[in-house]
Amino acid sequence: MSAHPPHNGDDPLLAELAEARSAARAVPESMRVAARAAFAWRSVEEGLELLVLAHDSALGTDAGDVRAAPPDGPRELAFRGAALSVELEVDADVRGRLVPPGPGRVTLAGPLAVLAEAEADALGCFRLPRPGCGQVRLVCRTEDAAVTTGWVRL
Amino acid sequence: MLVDDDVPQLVTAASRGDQGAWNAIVDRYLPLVYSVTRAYRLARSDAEDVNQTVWLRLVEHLDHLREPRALPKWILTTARHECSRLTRAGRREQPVDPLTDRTLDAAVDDEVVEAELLRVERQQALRDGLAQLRPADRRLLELLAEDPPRTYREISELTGMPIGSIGPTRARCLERLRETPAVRALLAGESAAAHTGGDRDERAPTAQRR
Repeated sequence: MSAHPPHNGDDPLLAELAEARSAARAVPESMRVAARAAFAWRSVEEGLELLVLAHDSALGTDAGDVRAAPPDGPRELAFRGAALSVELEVDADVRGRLVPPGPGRVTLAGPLAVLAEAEADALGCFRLPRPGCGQVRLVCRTEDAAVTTGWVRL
Repeated sequence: MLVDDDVPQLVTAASRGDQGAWNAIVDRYLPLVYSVTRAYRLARSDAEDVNQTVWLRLVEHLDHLREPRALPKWILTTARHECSRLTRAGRREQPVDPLTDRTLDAAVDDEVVEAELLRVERQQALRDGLAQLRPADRRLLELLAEDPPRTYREISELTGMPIGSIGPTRARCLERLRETPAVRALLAGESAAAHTGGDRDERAPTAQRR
């Protein structure tokens, strides 16, 4: 093909480049759509305090693992914030409590849509249906605070 | 892992709310995320799950990235973490065969995954290096790296470059690719590993169990 003998490493490098490009072409379009859509959460987060996951009974010793269920009883989670914290018990459904106790509005959202909404009563208690698989977050608004949990599987 | 000159600008713009900049970040690093899920042999639905988690996390962390140049490393680490979480969860759900040496089995799997991840990292560095080249150099290398490969005659017709100069230009373009910040960073990392006795060779054939 060519009169010019290539540098020793040229052919392998070009072959690897071809692999790198074909790996990029192999990405399913649905993943691109989901990745781009994730940005929509940015505007939602504005003005919301991001709560810190302070406790998750499902974590055990592994901080990243939220799939492991404790041997019995509901899974308990606590998200802490400066003005408002949220405690959850996840069983057949999601029972939660705003701390300090008080009324508010709680939204359960998936990455693409709001899944459910609930009112917290005077004691800060609320109940939501347990979502299916996938990441969700809770956005809680009271008179004094607007907070959101990070993404979590419940 | 790699640096890319416009990544910090993209991160800054995205963090100001620029969807176009976000899309550019996605387009650049989506193959990295996908390749990591492939390295872990995740099923498609799990791969989609990891992908979504990585990008949702990045939206959360965009303002807190201390060093935007470390973005690819952050993405790689987050994707790996999510993949290994799902893999471990999957293993736990499998019935345990007391006669199977699961520890040994898992170790071999990890080795295979690690080797694959090194390749994934190299490929991302090469794609980034390509993006850092001048458009004409990039175009030639893209044509040369097509599968199936094009003949020099076709490349000559597409670029207007005389057939006789394609060979030497190819060599020069590849040299410039090696000199890009992304590829230089990669090669520097690799020779450092080799110097310290490099504990692995990603090109070595690795026994695949099961």
